[in-house]
Amino acid sequence: MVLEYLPVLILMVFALGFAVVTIVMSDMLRPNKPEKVKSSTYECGAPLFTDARGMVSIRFFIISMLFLLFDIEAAFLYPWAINYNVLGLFGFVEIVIFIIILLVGYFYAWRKDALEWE
Amino acid sequence: MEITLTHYLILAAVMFGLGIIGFITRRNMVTVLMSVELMLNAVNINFIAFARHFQQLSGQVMSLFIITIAACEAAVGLAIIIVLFRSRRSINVDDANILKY
Amino acid sequence: MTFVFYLLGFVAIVSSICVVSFKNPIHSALGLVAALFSTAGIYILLNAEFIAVLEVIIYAGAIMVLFLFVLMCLNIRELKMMPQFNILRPIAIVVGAFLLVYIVIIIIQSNFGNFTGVYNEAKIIELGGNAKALGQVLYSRFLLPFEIISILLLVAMIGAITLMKEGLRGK
Repeated sequence: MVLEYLPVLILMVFALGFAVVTIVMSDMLRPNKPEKVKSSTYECGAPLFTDARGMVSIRFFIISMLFLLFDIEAAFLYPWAINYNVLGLFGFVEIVIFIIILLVGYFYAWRKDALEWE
Repeated sequence: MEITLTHYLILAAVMFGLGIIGFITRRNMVTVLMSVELMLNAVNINFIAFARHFQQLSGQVMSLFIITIAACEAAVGLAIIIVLFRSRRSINVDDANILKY
Repeated sequence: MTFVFYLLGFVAIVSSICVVSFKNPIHSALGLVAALFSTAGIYILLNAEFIAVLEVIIYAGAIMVLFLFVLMCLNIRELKMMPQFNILRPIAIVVGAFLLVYIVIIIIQSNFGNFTGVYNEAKIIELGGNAKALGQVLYSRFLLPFEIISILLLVAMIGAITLMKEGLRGK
């Protein structure tokens, strides 16, 4: 049963090894003559106006936090969905209560303008 | 050598110990939270190893709940860190001493 | 099988050491992603496929994205300036190592018995796989904890939004 997953492991090891070998080999083999223009960040030919490592807006955090919590809700739906025939109406009521409780949070986020971007 | 329950438990114990060391030594609040995640992960390994050993599924259900709790803890904890950073301009653990009076 | 366990365990421990010892928080986050992936591999070795998939989707996917967003919301250049380790670091390492050795000794000495439940490998295959068997346990025996989990998610959502709104008002 577990051995069926061996190809996945082999694939991951090969993917990681390929990436590492490519980066290390290209670092060793290429000629290295840095100059100011060559080592500057390239962005589609447009001149840079700021560093990429500035402060990011906090709205990204709110959106990804909501995504995380609703992601968990979706993850709990999987075991219910494949067991739908076994659990029947009982499981359906159970999952509807679960979704309604989370829907309250969704409407709270909506009313508090957490989904607005301005 | 056969891989037994003891092997998994020792692996989880090592990860838990590393999490404790990170939790105590780091000063950056975000890395402290990462160490807590590491500890929760070690606990998860324990639950699943015992679930396999006793041939029960309750351990796996508990680890499902632990993943959920870890996510909630990360959401609220990181929100607290951001608010603290806005009022104190620092996420050093030693600077969060408002309640010390 | 044995080799795979030692490989995954080695990767997990090395990347956990990276998490607690790297100076740059972003490097620590990447180390945590590696640790979570190898833990997912260990779950697959323990016949917990569904938990392994959730570990990758929720932990390594969503939670780590949240951590990285927070590191970017804060100013990274200021983060690098701040001292990363406590003065108590050597003492903490000694105490942590002592606790670790103690736990390992207890684990080696204890005898966990051989109590066997109903869900052995054949039974799970008969039920239709790990996720299906897990769902049957989750939605019957763990009915109340499952509904409480939804309230926990609701509280986390409301708490985080309220905190953020308070924080944003001053802007």
